[in-house]
Amino acid sequence: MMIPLRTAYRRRLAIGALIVAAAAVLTGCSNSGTDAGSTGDTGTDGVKPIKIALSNYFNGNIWRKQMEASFEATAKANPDYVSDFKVVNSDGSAPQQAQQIQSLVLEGYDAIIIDAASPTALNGAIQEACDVGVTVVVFDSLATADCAYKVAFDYETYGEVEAQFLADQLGGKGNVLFVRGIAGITVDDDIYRGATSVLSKYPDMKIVGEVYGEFTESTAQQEVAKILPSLPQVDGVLTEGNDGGGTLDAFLQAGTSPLPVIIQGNSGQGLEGWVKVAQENPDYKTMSISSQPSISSTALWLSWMLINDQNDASTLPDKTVYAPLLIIPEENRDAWADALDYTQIAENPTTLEQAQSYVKSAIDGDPVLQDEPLPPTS
Amino acid sequence: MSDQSPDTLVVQGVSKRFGSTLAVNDASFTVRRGELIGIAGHNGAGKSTILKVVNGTIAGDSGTVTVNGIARSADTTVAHPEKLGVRTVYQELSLCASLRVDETAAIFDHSARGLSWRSTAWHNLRTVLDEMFPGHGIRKDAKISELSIARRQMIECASTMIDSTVRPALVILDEPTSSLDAASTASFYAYLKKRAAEGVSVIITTHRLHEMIDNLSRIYVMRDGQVLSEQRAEGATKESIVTAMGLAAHESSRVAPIADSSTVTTTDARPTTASEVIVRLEQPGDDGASEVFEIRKGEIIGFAGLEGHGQLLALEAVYRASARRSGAVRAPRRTAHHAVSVTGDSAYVSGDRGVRGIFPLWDVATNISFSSLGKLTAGGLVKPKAEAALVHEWYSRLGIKGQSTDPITSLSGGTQQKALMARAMAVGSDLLLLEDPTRGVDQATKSEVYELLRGQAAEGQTIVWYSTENEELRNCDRVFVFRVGKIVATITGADATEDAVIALSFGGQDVAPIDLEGAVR
Amino acid sequence: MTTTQPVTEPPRSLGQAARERLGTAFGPWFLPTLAAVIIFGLMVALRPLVASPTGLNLVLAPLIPLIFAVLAQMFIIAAGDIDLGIGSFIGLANVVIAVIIPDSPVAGILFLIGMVVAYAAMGVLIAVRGLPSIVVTLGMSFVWLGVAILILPTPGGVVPEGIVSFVRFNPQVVPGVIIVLTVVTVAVALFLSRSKYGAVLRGSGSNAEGVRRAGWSVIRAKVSLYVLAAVFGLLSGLYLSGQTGGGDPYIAQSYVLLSIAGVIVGGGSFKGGEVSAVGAVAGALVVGLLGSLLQFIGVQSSFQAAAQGLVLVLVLVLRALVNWIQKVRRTL
Repeated sequence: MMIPLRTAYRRRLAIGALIVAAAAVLTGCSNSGTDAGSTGDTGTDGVKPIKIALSNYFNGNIWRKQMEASFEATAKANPDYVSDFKVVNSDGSAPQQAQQIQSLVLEGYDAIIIDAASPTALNGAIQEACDVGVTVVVFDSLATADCAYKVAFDYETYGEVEAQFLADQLGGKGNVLFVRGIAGITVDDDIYRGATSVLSKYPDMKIVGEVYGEFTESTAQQEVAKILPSLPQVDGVLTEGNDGGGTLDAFLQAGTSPLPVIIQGNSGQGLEGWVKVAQENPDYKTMSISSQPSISSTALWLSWMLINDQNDASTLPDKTVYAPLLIIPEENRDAWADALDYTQIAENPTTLEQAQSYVKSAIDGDPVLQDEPLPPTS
Repeated sequence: MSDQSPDTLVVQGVSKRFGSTLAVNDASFTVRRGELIGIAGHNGAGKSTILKVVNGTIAGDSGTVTVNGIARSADTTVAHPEKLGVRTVYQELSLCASLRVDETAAIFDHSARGLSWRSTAWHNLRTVLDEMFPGHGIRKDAKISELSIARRQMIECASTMIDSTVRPALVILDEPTSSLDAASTASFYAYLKKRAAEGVSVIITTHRLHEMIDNLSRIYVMRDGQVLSEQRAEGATKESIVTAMGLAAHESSRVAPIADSSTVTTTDARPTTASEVIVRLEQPGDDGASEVFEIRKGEIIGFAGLEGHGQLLALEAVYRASARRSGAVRAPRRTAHHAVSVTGDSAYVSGDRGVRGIFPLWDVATNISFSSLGKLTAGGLVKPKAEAALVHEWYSRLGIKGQSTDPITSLSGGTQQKALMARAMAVGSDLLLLEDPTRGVDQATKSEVYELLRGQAAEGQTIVWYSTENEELRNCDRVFVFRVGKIVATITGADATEDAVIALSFGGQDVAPIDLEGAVR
Repeated sequence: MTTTQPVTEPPRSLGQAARERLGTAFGPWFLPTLAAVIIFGLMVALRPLVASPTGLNLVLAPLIPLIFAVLAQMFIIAAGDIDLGIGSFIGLANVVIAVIIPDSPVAGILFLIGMVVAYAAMGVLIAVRGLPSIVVTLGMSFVWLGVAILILPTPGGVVPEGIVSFVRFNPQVVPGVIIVLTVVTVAVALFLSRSKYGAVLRGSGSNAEGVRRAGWSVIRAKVSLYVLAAVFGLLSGLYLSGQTGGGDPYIAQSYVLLSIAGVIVGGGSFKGGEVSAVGAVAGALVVGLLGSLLQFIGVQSSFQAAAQGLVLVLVLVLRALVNWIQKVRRTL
């Protein structure tokens, strides 16, 4: 079911006035704090560095940990752009994240970037932050508040790309197992919608089973192993990220032959498995796709652009920038497999220039939705 | 109309069967207006069951119950007996631990309403308390959980006598004095007599037979579910009641060691044996020099005195001062009044079985062997044969009936208490500490317990025994009498008559021995 | 004879009496309240802005739903039970307010009333059949969540403007959160500690049989407590809805354990009957403000959960210590 984004966030009169009054106090305070902390506004091009906080609602899987790490690395490496930064975590609780955002406002951050626990539950807190002049950027798991800028993956494209690849490989015919993410969240919803819209064009492709792998290799393995005995022959498996390796292991342990085409989810584990299978069977074809944890850095750069009024970032249509999905085709497979640890997810560190190009393409109405880079050389 | 009837309660032909057991068999009795009657009988004789049928908690199988002239069939239950003026205090306490005293009063007192409900209820309760237990020392803002078991019992007894919306007509008291000391008991009965004169009828069950004889007008004796005899208290003796209860054999063996000499209070009763010292209690004397009390191996020592004068504190201090291993010594333990040092290990048995004693979910065997598991294990695992042997040995020594695999809660209260004693004794510790171990236990079981204790002492185990029942202290070798936290007298067990202990509790030799019976007449 | 003199009571020193009185005055609510005040004081010391009306609103407003959830849990714990379904229940309330009420207020309100009735039925089931509350409420939590997902598969919906402005009501003179906090705490504390039926309710959790023997309906007491819990659960959902503006079935999942922690930190006990409204509100503030304080101090996000847990354990250890000292002093 599709829930329309909220088109208008009506302003609340009584408290609006009060908060605007308080805004002067707050922003005044935060500005002076920032100035004292840095050496005046001597950043690049005479713009000022920003004080930025990341509010994450869950850091219990590797994607999220890499996401936090990417933000911290980018912030540390660019002191001219970021004067102060902080990461807070709310342990999966939406109300607690709302509270954290309000505390961050009190702490005087210029910008807050948010991986949101819920599309709706944070809107009140985000609106209050906007009202006092804080720049809010939501990313990855979005919130619908109007005043917030958004850095998004086009997850429908995710589903379309993998489903199209599968249909091409199988000649438009076969049984499909769908390893989904987490029930009831928008990421899962979007990927599923994209994939099923493609599959509907191929009447001979049937989804014969669905399990929830929770974007975690070990969970995916257990869930797939449980459902396998009840399934007819599976020809292809659609996945949603960081779950292809576990799925592959489940099929290998069940001794399934021939192996179905399992879409991989950019994890080191999945790519290693794919390499091994391909060594034994050179005809085995598949691909790997997932979102990049470095999206947090894109959000950081977008905040910097917005605060310093750079690159016309404030004119973004729908206030939305797309971060590209990272696709690993067969020819890039070995390079990525070598570059990644077993429990790492492929990502391309985002530089300011890259972020600026994403913004530009979004403003031009032609967003970059996917990318097939080689691993960064370091 | 009903108020004119001379009988408050008429029970006719009530029977009640639980499974294969006929708990009450065609029981009939009458309680007249303003009469205090007792129901005697050993545990399991059907006293509790008949009283629950009377107040309507459980339905009988046949018969009629007439309260205040209103008859009902015994096979019906009554949702709110208090509306008929029937009040009951059960043996197991029914106060709410989390409430304050005045809130507790209000829960019983349905007449306390409005904004000042707490002060009204407290006023009503305190009026009764002050008269029933002068100097009770209960404050309205104390929480029930903070009160001693005796004070809780005081509150329960007093709450049955408040007037509330329906005045009490028939008050049923199941072992009301089991935790009370002699003075409180005396004032309690004095109050009951006063209320009886105003027309309140009271039924009391207690194992303290002399209380019934001294204070009540008639006593019904039950055995095996039947009301066997009715005795006028004036003519009754303990022997006549015991005979009717069918306990004559037990009783005669129990009284054996009593020397029928005149009461001599000896503050310097010597230890009965010259063996090694197990417990050493030291307290500052009046002249500044410290007084030392020694307890020697194989002795049975009683801790006596009025409720709450430091006996329990001293007993707990002895327990805490004792070592983990037999024969070992730990640093002395200090309390407000004593320095206690102990040689050897100890085991503790509490009369408050529900709280400190039994593991209600386990069977009898595990309850007995639990404390001894340490010596029954090999390589960390329990040796089933050794455990079974230990349980079997204690089953036969204690005469516990039934299977060792029965749940402990299937046993009667007295038998549960025996199992608890067995657990403590089976450990074979140097020292056995007993906290009122025979609370609410019938006469026959008590006699068995005394026998058992003498056996343990003969084997060299030292026993320290705190009791609220002065009468049973005669089974001790020596008795330490406490007053205001300190030991004020040491007397031999033979000298430890009720009168002597009470006299010492109230102030030593300089106070004339108190005539308990006289006090309440 | 003159011998029934009042000797039952051993004489006590003045000091002991004073200490006992002190112990009663500093009831179970004292320690959590002190902890909440200390935490708030530290926050103000670190960020003086917190003490401003705006700051108070920002810091306390997100805690109002938690406070209601803790009070709901408190009523259940007072009954000697535990409610593992309160989080899903609040989530369902949130979804109903965001999805059904905008379309049809009457149907929505009937739905909410139905939820309260369901809680009452749960209380009857637990009281009459003697079922363990932990199992019943856990089972029901899946029912609440399932119904909520049925109504709203993914987060969305729009909370009516009236509810939003009611929840965010904030007069110029006193911050709205302070008004809500004070009114709710005083009302619940008065009812629970100072009304006769409040005492009956606490008593029924502590010793149901005793209360029954005193002539009160234990089942009615249980149902009252469950209905109160449901009403406060709905209030929690109402405030969450107004603050977020949308619906999300999962929104209050974390409240299950937080609410239990709040009650226990606030001086409650699983034994039943041992609860204090002031303590519970203070406990909720401790549990809720702790995260903000650690954030202000700059504790790393990875350590925040552990640090939060440690502080909560510390509060409980302190309480155990105070109880122990009080008990030792009382002995005799």
